[in-house]
Order: sequence, then C-alpha cells, then structure tokens
Amino acid sequence: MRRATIVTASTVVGLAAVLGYRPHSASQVSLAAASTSASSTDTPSTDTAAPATDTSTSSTDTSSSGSGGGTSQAPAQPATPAPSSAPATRTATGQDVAINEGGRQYGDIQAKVTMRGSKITNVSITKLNVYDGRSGEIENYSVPQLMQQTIDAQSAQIDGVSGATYTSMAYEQSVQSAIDHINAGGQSA
Amino acid sequence: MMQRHVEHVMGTVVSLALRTDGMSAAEIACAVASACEVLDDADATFSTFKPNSELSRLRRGEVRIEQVSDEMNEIIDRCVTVLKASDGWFDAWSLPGGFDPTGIVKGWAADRALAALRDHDVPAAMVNAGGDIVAYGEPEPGRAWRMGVRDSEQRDILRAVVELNGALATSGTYERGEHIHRPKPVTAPSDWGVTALRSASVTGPELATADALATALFAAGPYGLQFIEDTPGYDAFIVDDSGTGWATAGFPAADA
Repeated sequence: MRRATIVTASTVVGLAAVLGYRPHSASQVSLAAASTSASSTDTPSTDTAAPATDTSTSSTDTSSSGSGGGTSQAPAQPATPAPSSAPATRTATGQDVAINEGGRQYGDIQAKVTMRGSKITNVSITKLNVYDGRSGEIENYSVPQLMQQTIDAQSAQIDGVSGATYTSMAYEQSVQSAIDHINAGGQSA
Repeated sequence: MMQRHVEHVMGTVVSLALRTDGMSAAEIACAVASACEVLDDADATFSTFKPNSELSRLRRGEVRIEQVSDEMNEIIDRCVTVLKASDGWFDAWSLPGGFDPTGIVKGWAADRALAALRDHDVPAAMVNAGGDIVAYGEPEPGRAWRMGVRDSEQRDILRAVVELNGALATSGTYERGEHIHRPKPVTAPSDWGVTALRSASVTGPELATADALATALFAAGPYGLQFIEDTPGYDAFIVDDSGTGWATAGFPAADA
C-alpha cells in the first residue's frame, strides 16, 4: 500500500511539477481557464455566464525596492506605489479527471490552481481517489502542494527569519574557531 | 512594547523577542536571565565542543548510561521517538563519534527557554535560535507571530511566510558543497526528478521535534514529506534542487 502511495503521489506530483515548470505555456493556461466551465458536479449548474468555481480578487503587487545589493542605502526610501493594472489573482478548480492506465481506471483527481497574472502560485489537490486493485477500496492520499511564492523580505513585515545565510554560517564558524582557539589555550590580542 | 535580547550560546546567535506590556524593568530582566540560564545549562550539558560536557563524557564512555541526568534521558527518549517518526532519517546514533543529538538539542533548549519566559508571565515571546524559531502569544493585539523562510540562494528573498503560535525549523544547504549526512541511502524512485533539497522547513507545536524532523526531511529529500504527513501536528515546506517549492496540506502559510 505504501508503494501505491508513492506511485500515485509521484504521478500527481509529476503533473503539478509540469504545471510548475511551464506556467507560461498555452496548454497550462487553457487547463486553468477552460476547465472552470466543465467541473463535474451532480447538481445542475445554475449559472451560465460565469464559471461556478472561479474566484477573482485583485491584488496589489508590491514591487521590491531597487537597491541591488549595495551596502549603503538611502534612508527611508518609499516603495513604488503599485500600478493600477496589477495582475489579478484568480483561483479555479479543474475538472475531476479519471486516472487511466492500460485501459483501466484507477481513480480520479481534481486540482485547484491559483494564478497571479500568468504565473501559477499555488496548486492544490481538492480530490484524489485511488482504487486499491486488490481490495477494490477507495483510498485518499495527501499530496504535496506547489508553493512558488517569492516574497521580498523587507516588505513582508515579519518578526523572525528561519534558515541560515552565508553570513550567519560564516559567523558561527568564526565563533567556533575562536572557541576552539581559546580551549586550546590560546588567546587573542 | 517589544524588547529584544541577543545571546551568543550553543555556537550560534539566540535572539529573544518579548512583548513586555505591563512588566517592570526588573521583571523583564529576571525573565531574560532565566531564559538565558536555560540556554547556558543546555550548552554546558550537550555541547560537543566542551570537553567536560555530559555529552562529551558520555561519548568517551566516562559516564554510564544508567547514570545520565534527567535532561540527557529526556533527549535520548526524544531521539528514539523522532528516529521512529522519521522512518530512520533522523538518527542520532548514525554519526561518527557516537551518539550525537545536536540536531534536536538546539530546538529543545529553545522550547525550554521559551517556557521560562512564559513562567515569568511574559505576555508573548519568540525565541530564534540560529534560524530555528518558537513563539507563543500575540506580538501585538490581534495578530500572530509572522516568520519567514529565507531563500537559500538570495538573502533578501523569502520563499514562505507563516503565521504561527508554535515552532518553525529550517534545515538547508545554505552553502554550496555542504556535506549532507544521510543515515541511509535515498532509494525512492526518482519520479520527482530530483532527490536533493535546497531547504526543508517544518512547523509544529514543539521546536525540538520540528528541528529534528527538518534535519530528517532535508536528508531524506522530497519523499520525506510522507513521514511529515504521517506525523500529527507537523507540516513542512521544501525547496527542491530545481528551486521549486512544495508544502504539505496543513502548512500554515500566511497570505503574504
């Protein structure tokens, strides 16, 4: 059963990875757009114009401040105001698609995609059913979600940062070498 | 009111952030001193760079396992628990030189330092031990602590922001060519396309566990997300070697 988990997850992940690698290809855009009008549900659809599962929100894209790595900065540079034509964030749920292999259906899968402009920022699996071939049971698996955000550290208003940097690692090495030196009986001037 | 204090201990920089509303200067100083004492004690007990620490003596066979301190016992127990939870990818017994719980001690000490602040009635606090973070309370009324996961390649970029009353630990190759210790070979099929990660971050209620799981996940590669999914209360975010970010379903990403 565990192997089935990995095989299925990798199939889904392969799909998501493809979406993640090529967000600008026409086929990806059509997957997100065209599928919204054809999501399979048992209840009859009452809206004709707008797809039932498409939500549109406009978001302001904060532009990162342009100081490109210099060590001296002008104080309190105001951020460039977001243009009024900032790309909108849209989320859509795709079709519930059968997973077929060798002429047999092994299950079905449905994905939800969030895009900002033409860039995919999130993919999540809203439904994944895989039939265990031997027992005939339907099992649900959790799969990893694509998270492709990059956020400017200065505008994110965070209280703390996780993850080392070259600087902090170098600092730690330097501190450790000093400690070792002292432990060995040496002293610095 | 927010006060910060920086302590150089356990071979790294530990930063404390305290919301100090309603506390006198003396009370704040007392709370900070108590937290720092916890960190110093952990350093004295577990530092492999201190020849006389209990861990160093244990590794040299100068202390019998039945004679170890309560703290050492607790760390050993936790290493066993995480060994199992991580499918063997966190293995404190797999490193040369003998038992080495370094991958869990920093987080464990930070949890205890945070508890000391709570015991001193600090309304909200965050401990950041060399990039592994644990926090409780509201830094300002109405909002949770916000923590960022730094990109491993560009220092001004974050790959994720979480809002969390709990812990966030990150393990990663923040330097090219860094040797990754793997207790066992990566044998999962490479349908993913890559087996290595640039960074692995784990969130959950305790930093000790998050710390160890992040270490395990980083060693295991993308398929390590499976044992994170199987560990209740803990979630993960990884950046794989192609630069693509992935998260488990419950990862507490903020709307950045």
